Amino acid sequence: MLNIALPKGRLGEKVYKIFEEAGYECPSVLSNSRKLIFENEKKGVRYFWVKPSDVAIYVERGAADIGVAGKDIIEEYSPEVYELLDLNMGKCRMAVAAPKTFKDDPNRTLRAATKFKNIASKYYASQSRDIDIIELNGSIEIAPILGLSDVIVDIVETGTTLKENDLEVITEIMRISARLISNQTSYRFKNSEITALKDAVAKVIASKE
Amino acid sequence: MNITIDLKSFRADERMALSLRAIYESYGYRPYKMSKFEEYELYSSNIDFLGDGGVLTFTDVNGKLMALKPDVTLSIVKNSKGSVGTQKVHYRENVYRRNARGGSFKEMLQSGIECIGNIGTVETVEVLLLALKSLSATECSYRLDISHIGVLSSLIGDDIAGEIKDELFTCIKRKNAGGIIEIATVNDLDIKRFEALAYAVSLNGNALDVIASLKEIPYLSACEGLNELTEIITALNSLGYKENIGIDLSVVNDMNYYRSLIFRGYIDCVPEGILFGGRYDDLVKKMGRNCGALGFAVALDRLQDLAKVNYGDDNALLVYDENMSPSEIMNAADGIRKNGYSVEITSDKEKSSGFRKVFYITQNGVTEDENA
Repeated sequence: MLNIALPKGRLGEKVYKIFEEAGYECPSVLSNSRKLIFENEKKGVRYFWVKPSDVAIYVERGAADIGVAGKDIIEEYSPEVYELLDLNMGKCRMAVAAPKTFKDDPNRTLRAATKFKNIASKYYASQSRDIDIIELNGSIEIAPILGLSDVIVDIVETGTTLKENDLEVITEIMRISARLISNQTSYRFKNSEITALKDAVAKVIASKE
Repeated sequence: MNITIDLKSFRADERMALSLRAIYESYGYRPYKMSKFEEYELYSSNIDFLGDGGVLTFTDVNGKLMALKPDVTLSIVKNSKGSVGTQKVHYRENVYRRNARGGSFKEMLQSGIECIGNIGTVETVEVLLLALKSLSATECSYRLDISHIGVLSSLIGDDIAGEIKDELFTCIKRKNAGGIIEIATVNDLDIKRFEALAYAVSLNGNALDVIASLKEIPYLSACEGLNELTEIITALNSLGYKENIGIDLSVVNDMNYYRSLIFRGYIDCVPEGILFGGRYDDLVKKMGRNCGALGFAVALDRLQDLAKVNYGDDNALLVYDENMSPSEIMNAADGIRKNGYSVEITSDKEKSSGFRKVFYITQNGVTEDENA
Protein backbone atom coordinates (compact mmCIF):
# COMPACT_ATOMS: atom_id res chain seq x y z
CA MET A 1 0.00 0.00 0.00
CA LEU A 2 1.39 3.38 -1.05
CA ASN A 3 0.51 6.33 1.18
CA ILE A 4 0.18 9.46 -0.93
CA ALA A 5 -0.03 12.99 0.49
CA LEU A 6 -1.84 15.41 -1.78
CA PRO A 7 -1.94 19.19 -1.28
CA LYS A 8 -5.43 20.37 -0.33
CA GLY A 9 -6.96 22.71 -2.89
CA ARG A 10 -7.25 23.21 -6.64
CA LEU A 11 -3.74 22.01 -7.48
CA GLY A 12 -4.23 18.82 -5.43
CA GLU A 13 -7.45 18.03 -7.27
CA LYS A 14 -5.72 18.52 -10.62
CA VAL A 15 -2.87 16.27 -9.48
CA TYR A 16 -5.33 13.58 -8.37
CA LYS A 17 -6.90 13.63 -11.86
CA ILE A 18 -3.47 12.86 -13.34
CA PHE A 19 -2.95 10.00 -10.85
CA GLU A 20 -6.42 8.73 -11.76
CA GLU A 21 -5.59 8.82 -15.45
CA ALA A 22 -2.36 6.98 -14.68
CA GLY A 23 -4.43 4.11 -13.24
CA TYR A 24 -4.38 4.96 -9.55
CA GLU A 25 -7.98 6.00 -9.10
CA CYS A 26 -9.84 6.24 -5.82
CA PRO A 27 -13.16 7.95 -6.72
CA SER A 28 -14.14 8.86 -3.15
CA VAL A 29 -11.20 11.31 -3.03
CA LEU A 30 -13.21 13.98 -4.82
CA SER A 31 -16.39 13.45 -2.79
CA ASN A 32 -17.51 16.46 -0.82
CA SER A 33 -17.04 14.82 2.54
CA ARG A 34 -14.97 15.99 5.46
CA LYS A 35 -12.96 12.78 5.32
CA LEU A 36 -9.24 13.29 4.83
CA ILE A 37 -8.08 9.73 4.09
CA PHE A 38 -9.25 7.65 1.11
CA GLU A 39 -8.19 4.16 0.16
CA ASN A 40 -8.38 1.92 -2.89
CA GLU A 41 -7.07 -1.41 -1.66
CA LYS A 42 -7.25 -3.00 -5.10
CA LYS A 43 -4.96 -0.36 -6.59
CA GLY A 44 -2.76 -0.31 -3.51
CA VAL A 45 -3.08 3.41 -2.82
CA ARG A 46 -4.18 5.48 0.15
CA TYR A 47 -4.58 9.21 -0.50
CA PHE A 48 -4.80 11.91 2.09
CA TRP A 49 -5.27 15.66 1.87
CA VAL A 50 -2.90 17.85 3.85
CA LYS A 51 -1.99 21.53 3.90
CA PRO A 52 0.25 22.13 0.83
CA SER A 53 3.17 23.39 2.93
CA ASP A 54 2.98 20.24 5.11
CA VAL A 55 3.27 17.65 2.31
CA ALA A 56 7.08 17.58 2.45
CA ILE A 57 7.00 17.01 6.23
CA TYR A 58 4.62 14.05 5.89
CA VAL A 59 6.87 12.54 3.24
CA GLU A 60 10.20 13.26 4.96
CA ARG A 61 8.97 11.72 8.22
CA GLY A 62 7.53 8.67 6.46
CA ALA A 63 3.82 9.25 7.25
CA ALA A 64 3.44 9.35 3.46
CA ASP A 65 5.59 7.34 1.05
CA ILE A 66 5.18 9.88 -1.71
CA GLY A 67 3.50 13.24 -2.16
CA VAL A 68 3.19 16.29 -4.33
CA ALA A 69 4.84 19.49 -3.13
CA GLY A 70 5.72 22.82 -4.72
CA LYS A 71 9.35 23.54 -5.57
CA ASP A 72 9.07 26.61 -3.29
CA ILE A 73 8.39 24.38 -0.26
CA ILE A 74 11.22 22.00 -1.20
CA GLU A 75 13.69 24.89 -1.52
CA GLU A 76 12.49 26.68 1.60
CA TYR A 77 12.52 23.70 4.00
CA SER A 78 15.14 21.48 2.27
CA PRO A 79 13.45 18.26 3.37
CA GLU A 80 15.52 15.09 2.96
CA VAL A 81 13.33 13.59 0.24
CA TYR A 82 13.78 12.50 -3.36
CA GLU A 83 12.43 14.77 -6.04
CA LEU A 84 11.38 12.22 -8.63
CA LEU A 85 9.38 14.13 -11.21
CA ASP A 86 8.44 17.62 -12.32
CA LEU A 87 4.67 17.47 -12.82
CA ASN A 88 4.72 20.69 -14.86
CA MET A 89 1.65 21.88 -12.97
CA GLY A 90 1.01 24.76 -10.59
CA LYS A 91 3.61 26.75 -12.50
CA CYS A 92 4.64 30.11 -11.09
CA ARG A 93 7.87 31.87 -10.09
CA MET A 94 9.61 33.09 -6.95
CA ALA A 95 10.50 36.73 -7.51
CA VAL A 96 11.66 39.95 -5.90
CA ALA A 97 9.05 42.68 -6.37
CA ALA A 98 8.99 46.35 -5.35
CA PRO A 99 6.91 49.50 -5.83
CA LYS A 100 7.33 50.98 -9.31
CA THR A 101 9.05 53.98 -7.74
CA PHE A 102 11.64 51.84 -5.94
CA LYS A 103 15.32 52.65 -6.46
CA ASP A 104 17.82 50.34 -4.83
CA ASP A 105 20.36 52.08 -2.59
CA PRO A 106 23.26 49.65 -2.06
CA ASN A 107 24.53 51.95 0.69
CA ARG A 108 21.88 50.75 3.13
CA THR A 109 20.46 47.46 4.35
CA LEU A 110 17.66 46.23 2.12
CA ARG A 111 14.45 45.36 3.97
CA ALA A 112 12.74 42.35 2.39
CA ALA A 113 9.32 41.07 3.50
CA THR A 114 8.66 37.41 2.78
CA LYS A 115 7.11 34.11 3.80
CA PHE A 116 10.22 32.37 2.40
CA LYS A 117 13.06 33.50 4.64
CA ASN A 118 15.49 30.75 3.61
CA ILE A 119 15.03 31.30 -0.12
CA ALA A 120 15.35 35.09 0.35
CA SER A 121 18.47 34.76 2.56
CA LYS A 122 20.14 32.37 0.13
CA TYR A 123 19.40 34.58 -2.85
CA TYR A 124 20.73 37.78 -1.26
CA ALA A 125 23.75 35.93 0.19
CA SER A 126 24.61 34.92 -3.38
CA GLN A 127 24.46 38.64 -4.25
CA SER A 128 26.57 39.52 -1.15
CA ARG A 129 23.83 41.91 -0.14
CA ASP A 130 23.10 42.84 3.47
CA ILE A 131 19.38 42.42 4.08
CA ASP A 132 16.90 42.62 6.91
CA ILE A 133 14.31 39.87 6.53
CA ILE A 134 10.82 40.70 7.73
CA GLU A 135 8.98 37.42 8.08
CA LEU A 136 5.26 37.70 7.35
CA ASN A 137 2.61 35.00 6.99
CA GLY A 138 0.34 36.61 4.39
CA SER A 139 -0.63 39.83 2.54
CA ILE A 140 3.06 40.34 1.76
CA GLU A 141 2.23 42.89 -0.96
CA ILE A 142 1.07 45.39 1.63
CA ALA A 143 4.50 45.59 3.33
CA PRO A 144 6.24 48.00 0.87
CA ILE A 145 3.08 50.12 0.52
CA LEU A 146 3.04 50.76 4.26
CA GLY A 147 6.80 51.30 4.40
CA LEU A 148 7.39 48.10 6.35
CA SER A 149 9.84 46.83 3.72
CA ASP A 150 11.62 47.98 0.55
CA VAL A 151 10.93 44.84 -1.47
CA ILE A 152 9.06 41.57 -1.17
CA VAL A 153 10.19 38.05 -2.04
CA ASP A 154 7.12 36.07 -2.97
CA ILE A 155 5.40 33.73 -5.41
CA VAL A 156 4.12 35.43 -8.55
CA GLU A 157 1.53 33.63 -10.64
CA THR A 158 -0.15 36.02 -13.06
CA GLY A 159 1.18 39.25 -11.57
CA THR A 160 -2.33 40.67 -11.13
CA THR A 161 -2.03 41.13 -7.35
CA LEU A 162 1.29 42.92 -7.84
CA LYS A 163 -0.18 45.20 -10.50
CA GLU A 164 -3.20 46.06 -8.36
CA ASN A 165 -0.84 47.13 -5.58
CA ASP A 166 1.48 49.14 -7.85
CA LEU A 167 4.28 46.61 -7.52
CA GLU A 168 6.43 45.07 -10.23
CA VAL A 169 8.86 42.16 -10.53
CA ILE A 170 12.51 43.26 -10.30
CA THR A 171 14.20 39.86 -10.43
CA GLU A 172 13.08 36.30 -10.90
CA ILE A 173 14.76 33.99 -8.36
CA MET A 174 13.46 30.63 -9.56
CA ARG A 175 10.73 28.94 -11.49
CA ILE A 176 8.30 26.86 -9.47
CA SER A 177 6.12 23.88 -10.27
CA ALA A 178 4.65 20.87 -8.47
CA ARG A 179 7.04 17.96 -7.87
CA LEU A 180 6.48 14.29 -7.08
CA ILE A 181 8.55 13.59 -3.98
CA SER A 182 9.38 10.35 -2.18
CA ASN A 183 10.50 9.35 1.28
CA GLN A 184 14.07 7.95 1.19
CA THR A 185 13.27 4.75 3.07
CA SER A 186 10.05 4.08 1.13
CA TYR A 187 11.98 4.59 -2.11
CA ARG A 188 14.12 1.61 -1.11
CA PHE A 189 11.54 -0.73 0.40
CA LYS A 190 8.61 0.08 -1.93
CA ASN A 191 10.73 0.81 -4.98
CA SER A 192 8.77 -1.19 -7.56
CA GLU A 193 5.43 0.42 -6.56
CA ILE A 194 6.90 3.94 -6.47
CA THR A 195 8.76 3.54 -9.77
CA ALA A 196 5.66 2.09 -11.49
CA LEU A 197 3.54 5.04 -10.27
CA LYS A 198 6.19 7.59 -11.26
CA ASP A 199 6.52 6.11 -14.78
CA ALA A 200 2.74 5.97 -15.27
CA VAL A 201 2.32 9.58 -14.11
CA ALA A 202 5.24 10.73 -16.29
CA LYS A 203 3.56 9.10 -19.29
CA VAL A 204 0.26 10.93 -18.65
CA ILE A 205 2.08 14.25 -18.25
CA ALA A 206 4.11 13.73 -21.43
CA SER A 207 0.90 12.99 -23.35
CA LYS A 208 -0.49 16.36 -22.29
CA GLU A 209 2.50 18.43 -23.38
CA MET B 1 22.53 -11.10 45.00
CA ASN B 2 22.13 -12.31 41.44
CA ILE B 3 20.08 -10.07 39.20
CA THR B 4 18.75 -11.49 35.97
CA ILE B 5 18.66 -8.85 33.28
CA ASP B 6 15.97 -9.31 30.70
CA LEU B 7 17.07 -7.60 27.48
CA LYS B 8 13.42 -7.16 26.53
CA SER B 9 13.07 -4.52 29.23
CA PHE B 10 15.68 -2.34 27.48
CA ARG B 11 14.76 0.30 24.94
CA ALA B 12 15.52 -0.64 21.33
CA ASP B 13 18.47 1.79 21.17
CA GLU B 14 19.94 0.39 24.42
CA ARG B 15 19.59 -3.18 23.16
CA MET B 16 21.18 -2.18 19.86
CA ALA B 17 24.14 -0.56 21.61
CA LEU B 18 24.84 -3.81 23.47
CA SER B 19 24.41 -5.97 20.35
CA LEU B 20 26.67 -3.72 18.28
CA ARG B 21 29.39 -3.77 20.92
CA ALA B 22 29.33 -7.58 20.90
CA ILE B 23 29.48 -7.67 17.08
CA TYR B 24 32.38 -5.20 16.81
CA GLU B 25 34.41 -6.83 19.58
CA SER B 26 34.01 -10.25 17.98
CA TYR B 27 35.83 -8.78 14.95
CA GLY B 28 38.71 -7.54 17.08
CA TYR B 29 37.61 -3.90 17.29
CA ARG B 30 38.70 -2.37 20.60
CA PRO B 31 36.49 -0.01 22.62
CA TYR B 32 37.48 3.63 22.43
CA LYS B 33 36.46 6.07 25.16
CA MET B 34 36.97 9.75 24.64
CA SER B 35 36.45 12.99 26.47
CA LYS B 36 33.18 14.86 26.06
CA PHE B 37 35.09 18.00 25.06
CA GLU B 38 37.68 18.90 22.44
CA GLU B 39 39.39 22.16 21.62
CA TYR B 40 37.21 24.10 19.20
CA GLU B 41 40.17 24.52 16.85
CA LEU B 42 39.90 20.82 15.87
CA TYR B 43 36.44 21.44 14.43
CA SER B 44 36.96 24.93 13.04
CA SER B 45 39.87 23.69 10.92
CA ASN B 46 37.80 20.76 9.60
CA ILE B 47 34.43 22.43 9.27
CA ASP B 48 33.90 20.94 5.79
CA PHE B 49 34.01 17.47 7.26
CA LEU B 50 31.31 18.30 9.79
CA GLY B 51 28.75 19.79 7.44
CA ASP B 52 26.36 22.42 8.75
CA GLY B 53 25.38 20.80 12.04
CA GLY B 54 27.10 23.56 14.03
CA VAL B 55 29.38 23.29 17.06
CA LEU B 56 28.38 23.99 20.66
CA THR B 57 31.21 25.92 22.32
CA PHE B 58 32.20 27.20 25.76
CA THR B 59 35.25 28.84 27.31
CA ASP B 60 37.26 26.62 29.63
CA VAL B 61 38.72 27.93 32.94
CA ASN B 62 42.09 28.55 31.22
CA GLY B 63 40.45 30.70 28.56
CA LYS B 64 40.59 28.06 25.81
CA LEU B 65 37.61 27.82 23.51
CA MET B 66 36.27 24.29 23.86
CA ALA B 67 33.50 22.38 22.11
CA LEU B 68 31.12 19.59 23.00
CA LYS B 69 32.10 17.10 20.36
CA PRO B 70 29.84 17.23 17.30
CA ASP B 71 31.61 14.23 15.80
CA VAL B 72 33.62 11.22 16.93
CA THR B 73 35.73 10.46 13.86
CA LEU B 74 37.82 13.64 14.13
CA SER B 75 38.83 12.84 17.72
CA ILE B 76 39.81 9.28 16.83
CA VAL B 77 41.82 10.43 13.80
CA LYS B 78 43.57 13.12 15.86
CA ASN B 79 44.57 10.57 18.47
CA SER B 80 45.76 8.06 15.89
CA LYS B 81 48.52 10.45 14.83
CA GLY B 82 51.85 8.79 15.47
CA SER B 83 50.33 5.30 15.63
CA VAL B 84 51.72 2.54 13.50
CA GLY B 85 49.90 -0.37 11.92
CA THR B 86 46.16 -0.59 11.50
CA GLN B 87 43.93 0.59 14.31
CA LYS B 88 40.46 -0.90 14.66
CA VAL B 89 38.27 0.79 17.24
CA HIS B 90 34.59 0.94 18.12
CA TYR B 91 32.79 3.50 20.22
CA ARG B 92 29.48 4.49 21.72
CA GLU B 93 29.39 8.22 22.33
CA ASN B 94 27.04 11.15 22.54
CA VAL B 95 27.57 13.88 19.98
CA TYR B 96 26.07 17.36 20.08
CA ARG B 97 24.80 18.98 16.92
CA ARG B 98 21.74 20.36 15.24
CA ASN B 99 19.81 17.78 13.28
CA ALA B 100 19.48 18.02 9.51
CA ARG B 101 16.27 20.02 9.88
CA GLY B 102 18.07 22.78 11.82
CA GLY B 103 16.62 23.86 15.13
CA SER B 104 18.37 23.72 18.47
CA PHE B 105 21.28 21.49 19.46
CA LYS B 106 20.55 17.94 20.45
CA GLU B 107 22.43 15.19 22.20
CA MET B 108 22.62 12.22 19.84
CA LEU B 109 23.87 8.76 20.72
CA GLN B 110 26.08 7.12 18.12
CA SER B 111 27.78 3.78 17.93
CA GLY B 112 30.31 2.98 15.27
CA ILE B 113 33.70 1.79 14.13
CA GLU B 114 36.81 3.30 12.57
CA CYS B 115 39.53 1.37 10.78
CA ILE B 116 42.67 3.47 10.22
CA GLY B 117 45.86 2.21 8.57
CA ASN B 118 46.47 -0.11 5.69
CA ILE B 119 43.04 -0.41 4.05
CA GLY B 120 42.79 -2.92 1.22
CA THR B 121 39.84 -4.80 -0.23
CA VAL B 122 39.75 -7.25 2.67
CA GLU B 123 39.52 -4.47 5.29
CA THR B 124 36.89 -2.68 3.19
CA VAL B 125 34.77 -5.82 2.87
CA GLU B 126 35.06 -6.39 6.61
CA VAL B 127 33.88 -2.84 7.45
CA LEU B 128 30.93 -3.14 5.05
CA LEU B 129 30.13 -6.58 6.45
CA LEU B 130 30.02 -5.02 9.93
CA ALA B 131 27.74 -2.28 8.59
CA LEU B 132 25.40 -4.98 7.23
CA LYS B 133 25.53 -6.90 10.51
CA SER B 134 24.76 -3.66 12.40
CA LEU B 135 21.65 -3.11 10.27
CA SER B 136 20.67 -6.76 10.63
CA ALA B 137 20.84 -6.41 14.43
CA THR B 138 17.77 -4.13 14.30
CA GLU B 139 15.72 -7.20 13.27
CA CYS B 140 14.03 -5.07 10.57
CA SER B 141 14.32 -5.39 6.78
CA TYR B 142 17.50 -3.54 5.90
CA ARG B 143 19.51 -2.24 3.01
CA LEU B 144 22.98 -0.79 2.62
CA ASP B 145 23.36 1.56 -0.34
CA ILE B 146 26.88 2.21 -1.57
CA SER B 147 28.14 5.06 -3.70
CA HIS B 148 31.57 5.99 -5.00
CA ILE B 149 32.72 9.59 -5.28
CA GLY B 150 35.30 8.56 -7.90
CA VAL B 151 32.48 7.35 -10.17
CA LEU B 152 30.54 10.59 -9.66
CA SER B 153 33.67 12.67 -10.37
CA SER B 154 34.27 10.80 -13.64
CA LEU B 155 30.69 11.64 -14.65
CA ILE B 156 30.76 15.28 -13.59
CA GLY B 157 34.19 16.10 -15.01
CA ASP B 158 36.81 18.41 -13.55
CA ASP B 159 35.58 21.85 -14.50
CA ILE B 160 32.57 22.19 -12.17
CA ALA B 161 33.14 24.18 -9.00
CA GLY B 162 31.68 26.75 -6.62
CA GLU B 163 27.97 27.48 -6.57
CA ILE B 164 27.22 25.29 -9.58
CA LYS B 165 28.82 22.32 -7.85
CA ASP B 166 26.77 22.96 -4.70
CA GLU B 167 23.55 23.15 -6.72
CA LEU B 168 24.50 20.02 -8.61
CA PHE B 169 25.11 18.08 -5.42
CA THR B 170 21.75 19.17 -4.02
CA CYS B 171 20.12 17.74 -7.17
CA ILE B 172 22.18 14.54 -6.93
CA LYS B 173 21.17 14.04 -3.27
CA ARG B 174 17.51 14.51 -4.22
CA LYS B 175 17.70 12.27 -7.31
CA ASN B 176 16.41 15.31 -9.16
CA ALA B 177 17.19 14.30 -12.74
CA GLY B 178 15.29 17.28 -14.19
CA GLY B 179 17.28 19.67 -11.98
CA ILE B 180 20.61 18.21 -13.18
CA ILE B 181 19.66 18.78 -16.83
CA GLU B 182 18.44 22.30 -16.00
CA ILE B 183 21.81 23.18 -14.43
CA ALA B 184 23.57 22.05 -17.61
CA THR B 185 21.17 24.03 -19.81
CA VAL B 186 21.29 27.25 -17.76
CA ASN B 187 25.09 27.17 -17.43
CA ASP B 188 25.77 26.02 -20.99
CA LEU B 189 27.49 22.81 -19.90
CA ASP B 190 27.91 19.52 -21.76
CA ILE B 191 24.28 18.27 -21.91
CA LYS B 192 25.22 14.71 -22.89
CA ARG B 193 27.47 14.37 -19.87
CA PHE B 194 24.77 15.69 -17.54
CA GLU B 195 22.10 13.44 -19.08
CA ALA B 196 24.40 10.52 -18.28
CA LEU B 197 24.78 11.85 -14.73
CA ALA B 198 20.99 12.23 -14.31
CA TYR B 199 20.50 8.66 -15.54
CA ALA B 200 23.24 7.29 -13.26
CA VAL B 201 21.83 9.04 -10.19
CA SER B 202 18.33 7.68 -10.84
CA LEU B 203 19.56 4.07 -10.94
CA ASN B 204 18.70 1.93 -7.94
CA GLY B 205 18.35 -1.79 -7.44
CA ASN B 206 20.47 -4.92 -7.46
CA ALA B 207 24.05 -3.77 -7.04
CA LEU B 208 25.66 -5.78 -9.86
CA ASP B 209 22.84 -4.84 -12.29
CA VAL B 210 23.38 -1.15 -11.49
CA ILE B 211 27.16 -1.53 -11.98
CA ALA B 212 26.50 -3.21 -15.36
CA SER B 213 24.27 -0.26 -16.38
CA LEU B 214 26.92 2.22 -15.20
CA LYS B 215 29.64 0.45 -17.18
CA GLU B 216 27.69 1.14 -20.37
CA ILE B 217 28.01 4.90 -19.84
CA PRO B 218 30.88 6.08 -22.09
CA TYR B 219 32.33 8.44 -19.43
CA LEU B 220 32.72 5.48 -17.08
CA SER B 221 34.38 2.98 -19.43
CA ALA B 222 37.75 3.38 -17.72
CA CYS B 223 36.48 4.22 -14.24
CA GLU B 224 38.58 2.52 -11.55
CA GLY B 225 35.86 3.10 -8.96
CA LEU B 226 33.47 0.75 -10.76
CA ASN B 227 36.02 -2.07 -10.68
CA GLU B 228 36.55 -1.44 -6.97
CA LEU B 229 32.78 -1.56 -6.38
CA THR B 230 32.44 -4.79 -8.41
CA GLU B 231 35.12 -6.51 -6.37
CA ILE B 232 33.56 -5.47 -3.04
CA ILE B 233 29.97 -6.28 -4.04
CA THR B 234 30.94 -9.69 -5.41
CA ALA B 235 32.57 -10.54 -2.09
CA LEU B 236 29.56 -9.34 -0.04
CA ASN B 237 27.11 -11.15 -2.32
CA SER B 238 28.98 -14.40 -1.80
CA LEU B 239 28.72 -13.82 1.95
CA GLY B 240 24.92 -13.93 1.61
CA TYR B 241 24.00 -10.23 1.44
CA LYS B 242 22.89 -10.02 -2.20
CA GLU B 243 19.39 -8.86 -1.28
CA ASN B 244 20.63 -6.23 1.17
CA ILE B 245 23.15 -4.26 -0.87
CA GLY B 246 22.46 -1.65 -3.49
CA ILE B 247 24.42 0.86 -5.52
CA ASP B 248 22.97 4.36 -5.31
CA LEU B 249 25.02 7.31 -6.52
CA SER B 250 22.66 9.77 -4.81
CA VAL B 251 24.29 8.78 -1.50
CA VAL B 252 26.77 11.64 -1.34
CA ASN B 253 28.41 13.81 1.24
CA ASP B 254 31.19 16.35 1.23
CA MET B 255 33.44 15.66 -1.74
CA ASN B 256 36.46 17.29 -0.14
CA TYR B 257 36.94 14.41 2.27
CA TYR B 258 35.25 11.46 0.68
CA ARG B 259 37.09 10.49 -2.48
CA SER B 260 35.93 6.94 -2.89
CA LEU B 261 33.44 4.79 -0.99
CA ILE B 262 30.51 6.34 0.79
CA PHE B 263 27.52 4.40 2.12
CA ARG B 264 24.28 4.72 4.01
CA GLY B 265 22.09 2.12 5.73
CA TYR B 266 18.31 2.07 5.93
CA ILE B 267 15.80 -0.12 7.77
CA ASP B 268 12.15 -0.33 6.77
CA CYS B 269 10.79 0.87 10.11
CA VAL B 270 12.69 4.20 10.31
CA PRO B 271 11.89 6.84 7.66
CA GLU B 272 15.50 8.08 7.33
CA GLY B 273 19.00 6.64 7.10
CA ILE B 274 20.37 5.16 10.34
CA LEU B 275 23.95 4.26 9.32
CA PHE B 276 26.43 6.63 7.69
CA GLY B 277 29.95 5.90 6.60
CA GLY B 278 32.70 6.20 4.06
CA ARG B 279 36.36 6.28 3.30
CA TYR B 280 38.08 9.47 4.45
CA ASP B 281 41.80 9.08 3.63
CA ASP B 282 42.18 12.81 2.93
CA LEU B 283 41.11 13.77 6.45
CA VAL B 284 43.71 11.42 7.94
CA LYS B 285 46.37 12.83 5.62
CA LYS B 286 45.42 16.38 6.53
CA MET B 287 45.88 15.46 10.17
CA GLY B 288 49.36 14.14 9.65
CA ARG B 289 49.17 10.43 8.95
CA ASN B 290 49.71 8.99 5.50
CA CYS B 291 47.34 6.03 5.41
CA GLY B 292 43.79 4.98 4.64
CA ALA B 293 40.71 5.28 6.86
CA LEU B 294 37.23 3.85 6.70
CA GLY B 295 34.39 3.83 9.22
CA PHE B 296 30.74 4.31 9.96
CA ALA B 297 28.36 5.45 12.68
CA VAL B 298 24.93 4.13 13.62
CA ALA B 299 22.51 6.83 14.80
CA LEU B 300 21.14 5.02 17.84
CA ASP B 301 18.86 7.92 18.76
CA ARG B 302 16.85 7.19 15.62
CA LEU B 303 16.10 3.70 16.91
CA GLN B 304 14.54 4.44 20.27
CA ASP B 305 10.96 4.08 19.04
CA LEU B 306 11.62 0.87 17.13
CA ALA B 307 10.04 -1.47 19.64
CA LYS B 308 7.92 0.04 22.34
CA VAL B 309 8.63 -1.64 25.65
CA ASN B 310 5.40 -2.42 27.41
CA TYR B 311 6.16 -1.02 30.83
CA GLY B 312 3.74 -2.23 33.43
CA ASP B 313 3.57 -5.89 32.39
CA ASP B 314 5.46 -6.97 35.45
CA ASN B 315 5.31 -4.06 37.83
CA ALA B 316 3.86 -4.07 41.31
CA LEU B 317 3.18 -1.50 43.98
CA LEU B 318 3.74 -2.10 47.65
CA VAL B 319 1.80 0.38 49.83
CA TYR B 320 3.25 0.46 53.32
CA ASP B 321 1.73 1.45 56.57
CA GLU B 322 3.78 4.15 58.24
CA ASN B 323 4.00 2.12 61.43
CA MET B 324 6.09 -0.50 59.64
CA SER B 325 9.88 -0.47 60.02
CA PRO B 326 12.07 0.16 56.93
CA SER B 327 13.59 -3.33 57.14
CA GLU B 328 10.16 -5.01 57.21
CA ILE B 329 9.12 -3.03 54.15
CA MET B 330 12.35 -3.85 52.26
CA ASN B 331 12.06 -7.56 53.07
CA ALA B 332 8.43 -7.63 51.95
CA ALA B 333 9.32 -5.89 48.68
CA ASP B 334 12.12 -8.42 48.08
CA GLY B 335 9.66 -11.25 48.67
CA ILE B 336 7.45 -9.89 45.87
CA ARG B 337 10.48 -9.31 43.60
CA LYS B 338 11.35 -13.00 43.89
CA ASN B 339 8.10 -13.71 42.02
CA GLY B 340 9.39 -11.78 39.04
CA TYR B 341 7.92 -8.35 39.70
CA SER B 342 9.55 -4.98 39.74
CA VAL B 343 8.36 -3.39 42.96
CA GLU B 344 7.85 0.26 43.76
CA ILE B 345 7.17 1.18 47.39
CA THR B 346 4.96 4.04 48.53
CA SER B 347 2.98 5.25 51.51
CA ASP B 348 0.48 6.94 49.20
CA LYS B 349 -2.66 4.83 49.40
CA GLU B 350 -4.23 6.57 46.41
CA LYS B 351 -1.45 5.61 44.01
CA SER B 352 -2.46 2.32 42.46
CA SER B 353 -3.26 2.94 38.79
CA GLY B 354 -0.88 1.62 36.16
CA PHE B 355 0.32 -1.32 38.25
CA ARG B 356 -0.36 -4.93 37.47
CA LYS B 357 -0.46 -5.89 41.15
CA VAL B 358 -0.95 -3.85 44.31
CA PHE B 359 0.13 -5.12 47.72
CA TYR B 360 -0.31 -3.67 51.20
CA ILE B 361 1.97 -4.23 54.13
CA THR B 362 0.54 -3.67 57.61
CA GLN B 363 1.06 -5.16 61.09
CA ASN B 364 -1.04 -8.10 59.82
CA GLY B 365 1.46 -8.92 57.05
CA VAL B 366 1.42 -8.54 53.24
CA THR B 367 -1.93 -8.70 51.46
CA GLU B 368 -2.69 -8.41 47.77
CA ASP B 369 -5.41 -6.08 46.53
CA GLU B 370 -7.70 -8.45 44.62
CA ASN B 371 -9.47 -5.57 42.90
CA ALA B 372 -6.29 -3.95 41.46
